[in-house]
Amino acid sequence: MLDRASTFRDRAVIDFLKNRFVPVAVDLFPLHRGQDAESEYYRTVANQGPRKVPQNTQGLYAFAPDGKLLGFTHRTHEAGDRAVAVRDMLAKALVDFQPSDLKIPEKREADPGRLPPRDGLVLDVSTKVLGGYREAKDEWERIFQTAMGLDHLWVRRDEVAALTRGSFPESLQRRIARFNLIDNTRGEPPMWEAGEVRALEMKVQDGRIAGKVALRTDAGDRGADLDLLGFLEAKEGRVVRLDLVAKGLFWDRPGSGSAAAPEGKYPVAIAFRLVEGEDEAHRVPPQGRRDWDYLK
Amino acid sequence: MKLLLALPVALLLADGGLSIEEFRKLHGDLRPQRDELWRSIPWKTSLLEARELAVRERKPLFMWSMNGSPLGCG
Repeated sequence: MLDRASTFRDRAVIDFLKNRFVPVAVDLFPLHRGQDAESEYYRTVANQGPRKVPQNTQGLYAFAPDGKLLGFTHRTHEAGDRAVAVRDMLAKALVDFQPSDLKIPEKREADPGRLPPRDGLVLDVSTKVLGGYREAKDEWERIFQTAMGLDHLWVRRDEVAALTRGSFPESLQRRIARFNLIDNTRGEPPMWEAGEVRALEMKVQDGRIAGKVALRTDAGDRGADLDLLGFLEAKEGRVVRLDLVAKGLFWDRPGSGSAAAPEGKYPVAIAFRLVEGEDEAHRVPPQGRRDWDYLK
Repeated sequence: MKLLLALPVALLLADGGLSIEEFRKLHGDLRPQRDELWRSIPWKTSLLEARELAVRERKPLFMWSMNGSPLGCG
């Protein structure tokens, strides 16, 4: 999130990445654990950096196609200008890079768990805190306070069929409640456990979706109460509109996340819409997909 | 359904609700901005596809690795 709003707004960094490198963005979580070719390749690169798997290997890497590391940086904002550090790393990597005629195995292993359900739907999910923050003490805190959290929602084929008949399947309601009604604007919060969904009601009538959700940990130190409103439209057996907004009050444990949440209860809104057009980012699995029962 | 502090569902789902005006405003305001600068970078999401492209174009790779996808989560 910080890099989206700082490093990758830098024109020189963007020019480097558009013209001189092949840029790739990955979630390290499955790549630390996977037994497939992509995970092994990730570990080959990351384990040349300062931290080795299973330590946290997040950061920015430059490397050759054969996996040889050419540069790494993971500067925090306290350490100075992140964009300058990345520019320097990229320039040095270009000097050190030696193209070679690497032979790539033609057959690729794709982890089916990272692919959306066949004949299902993908929705964009955007989250924003609407108020409650103290005054930001610096630019970095301001970025967190104004950030929009991004995620996806996957809808199964049988759920799509139910939606085209005008009903809102309970499995989809539960997936939304557990994995999308979260405040992910300051990092990755824990998802809700099944038992933390205390009340759940989403109904469709004449294409209008209305609902309410109550979420609580057992200790009550983290929770949310939300109202939902949306619109569902299907034509010729296809869902052509699935727009939804959830709005309500969240509360969180003090000190959780990458930056401090507002104190007490604070307002959050979460919007859902079908993905539009072609975008590589649409292929990113929902954060909740890490949970083994995400699609149940 | 298991309830916290024995609160009845009816109390947890107290009246309120979103108006259509609020829905329209929030749904519009929370649309992901497609013209943000970081989106202008031609990110790949598969390391193996990126490697193939790098070999073909004789370029090095740049990897943005996060706990959670940098393009889609958080």
